[in-house]
Amino acid sequence: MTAHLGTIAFVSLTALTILPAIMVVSTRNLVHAGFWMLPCLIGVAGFYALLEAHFFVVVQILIYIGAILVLIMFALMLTRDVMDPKERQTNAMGVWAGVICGLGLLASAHMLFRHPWVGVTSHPGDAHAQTVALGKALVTRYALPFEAASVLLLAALIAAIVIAKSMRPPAASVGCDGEVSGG
Amino acid sequence: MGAPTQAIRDLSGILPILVLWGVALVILLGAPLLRRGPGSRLAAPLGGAGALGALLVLLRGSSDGFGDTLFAGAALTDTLYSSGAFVLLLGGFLSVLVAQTYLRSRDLEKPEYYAIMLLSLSGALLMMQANDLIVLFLGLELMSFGLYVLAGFARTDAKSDEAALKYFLLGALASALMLYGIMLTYGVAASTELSNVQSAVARGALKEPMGIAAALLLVIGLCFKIAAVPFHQWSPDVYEGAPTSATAFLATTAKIGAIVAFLRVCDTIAGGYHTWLPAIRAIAILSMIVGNLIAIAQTNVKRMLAYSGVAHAGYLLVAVACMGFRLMGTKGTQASILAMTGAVFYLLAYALALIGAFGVLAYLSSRDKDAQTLNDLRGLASSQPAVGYAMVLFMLSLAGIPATAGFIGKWQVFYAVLTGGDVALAVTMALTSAMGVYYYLRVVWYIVFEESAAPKPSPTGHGVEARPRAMTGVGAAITICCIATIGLGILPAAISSFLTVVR
Repeated sequence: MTAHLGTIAFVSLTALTILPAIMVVSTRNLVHAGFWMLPCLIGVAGFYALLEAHFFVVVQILIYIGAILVLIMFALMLTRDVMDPKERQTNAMGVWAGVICGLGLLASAHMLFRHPWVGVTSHPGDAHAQTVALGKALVTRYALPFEAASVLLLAALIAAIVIAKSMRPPAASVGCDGEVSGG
Repeated sequence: MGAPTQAIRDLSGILPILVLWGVALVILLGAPLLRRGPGSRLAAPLGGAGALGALLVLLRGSSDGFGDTLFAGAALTDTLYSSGAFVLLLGGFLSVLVAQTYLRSRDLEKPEYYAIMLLSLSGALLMMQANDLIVLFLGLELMSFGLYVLAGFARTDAKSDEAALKYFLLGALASALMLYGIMLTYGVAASTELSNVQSAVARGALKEPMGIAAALLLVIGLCFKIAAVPFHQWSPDVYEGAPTSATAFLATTAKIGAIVAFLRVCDTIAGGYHTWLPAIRAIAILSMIVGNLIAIAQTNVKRMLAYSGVAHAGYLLVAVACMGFRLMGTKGTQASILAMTGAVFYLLAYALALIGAFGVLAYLSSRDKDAQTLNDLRGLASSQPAVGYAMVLFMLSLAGIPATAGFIGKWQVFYAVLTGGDVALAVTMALTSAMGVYYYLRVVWYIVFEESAAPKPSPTGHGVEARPRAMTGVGAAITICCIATIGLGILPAAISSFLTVVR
C-alpha cells in the first residue's frame, strides 16, 4: 500500500515538475516563464520530501523559491523589453535536435530502468540527524568543494559585473585626456 | 591532538590555490584604487605576483608529502598534480606578462582581468588535484567561468562578444554532459571518489550500459574542453574573437587543466579500457587529421593556431590513450607512466610556444590595429628581426622540429605509445605531424621571405612604437619563451626533476 502511495506521489510530482518546466521554456512572455518556475521548483521540493531529505525541502523552498525566483522576477521586470514575444523560438535544426534529444532520452530511460539498482541500504534518519550529518560533512570531507563553490560564485559574480556593467567610453577618453594634460 | 595537524596538512596541500584566491581577492578589493591613476600600473604586477607566488609555494612544497589525500579524500597531491601545476602556473605567469602589454595597448586593461585569471588558474589547479569527481567538476567550472569572461573582455568588439557567448553556451552544454556522466558514475559506483570508482571499475562497472554511458559522457565533457574533434567547433571562433592575450591564456590553461584531469580520470578507469579506449583512439586520430587539414586553409594566424590546437589535442589524447595500457602487462604500465611524463612535458612545450606566438601577435598590436593575419607578419624578419625570428622559433617548436622543446614533447609521447605497442596511433601521429609542418612553415615563409606589406611605417606604426615595447611585459614573455623553448629542446633533462611523474 505504501509503495502504491509512493508511486502515485512520484507520478504526480513528476507532472508538477515537468509540465511547468515545459511551459518555462515554451511560453513567449518572459514574466510568465518566471512564474511557471514556481510550480516546477515546488515539485522538486516535493521530490526531496518524498526522499525524506527534510533539510533540502526547507532549503529548496527558502532559497530557490524565496530568494532566487524572486530575484529572477525582479531582473525580468527591470529588463522586460529584452525579448520580443513575436521572435521565433526555433531554427531550422529544431526538428533534428528534437529527434536526437528524444532518442537520447529514450536510451537513458531504457538504461536507467534496466540497471540493477541496489536500493536504499540505510534509512536516512530523522531531520535533526540528517542536518547534523550534513553540517559535519560540510566542514570535513566537503570543506574544499564547499569553499570552491563559494569562490565559483564569486567568480561568476565578478564575471557578470565585468560583462554587464555599463560602459562609459566618452568618460574614459576624457579621463585619459585629463591625465595627459595634467602630466 | 591529531586534528589540527591534519588541518594544517590539508591546507598546506592546497597552498597554491589559497595563494591564488588571496591575491585575486586583494586585486578585487583594491580594484577602485587599481582602476585608474598611478594605481593602474600595479594591477598587472599583482596578477603576476599571484601566479609566481603560487608557483614558488608549489616548488617549496613539492619536496615532501607525495601521494597524500587531503580533506578526507576530496583532493590529493601527487607528482602528476605537482608537475602539471608547475606548467600551468608558469603559463599563467607568462600570460599575465602578455596581457599587461596587450590590454594596455588595446585600451582594455581593468584590474578584474587579472583577478579572473587567477581564479581561473585556481580552478585548473583544483581540477588537477581532484580526487573526487565533484571536486573535479567544480574546478572545471571555476576555470571555465573565468575563461568565458576573458574571451568576451573586449566588449566593444562584436567578435569578442560572439566568442564569449559561443564558448559559454557550448561550455555549458559540455558541463551538463559531464555532470550527467558524474551522476551515472555515482549510480554504478555509489561514490564519486576516484578510488571508489576505480574499485567499482575493477568489479566490472564499465561492462554495464550505465557504466559505459558514464565513461563516455565524462570523455565527451573533457574533449569539449580540449577542443578535440568532433567537439572542436567553438575553438576557431573563440580563438579569433577573444582578445589575443585572453586567447593565449585560455588556449593553454584549458588544455593543461583538462589534459591532466583527463590523464587522472582515464588512469582511474583503466580497468575498463575496452569501453573507452576505442573512443579515445578514434577522437585522437580524427583530431590529428582534421585539425591539421583545416589549419592548412587558414590565413588568420589566430584561427590557424586554433586548428593547430585541435591537432595538438589529438597528440595529447594519444598520451591519454596510453592510460588504457596500464593493466596490459609491464610494457603497458611502463607506457602509461611514460605517457604521463611525456604529456606534461608536451604541455610545457606547447604552452611556451603558444604563449610566445600569441605574445608576438600581441606585440605587433596597437590601439587601432590588432595583428591577426599572415599579412600582419609579412617581412617581419627584416623589419623587426628579434620578434620575427622568435615567431619562427615558436612555429618550429609547434611543428616539432628537433632542437626545440616541441620535438622533445612529441618524441616522448610517441615513444610512450610505441612502448604500449599501438602502432596505428604512432603512425598517425608521425604522418599528421609531417602534415602540420606545412602550415607552420608557411608562417615562417611569410616572416622571412615575403616583402613587408606596409609601404612605409606611419608615425603610429610599429617602427616607432616597437622600440620601447621590447621593455614591457610581452617582451619579457617572448624572451622567456624563446630561451625555454631552445633550452628544453637541447637539455630536456634540466627540468625533469619538476616534471617526472612517478607512479
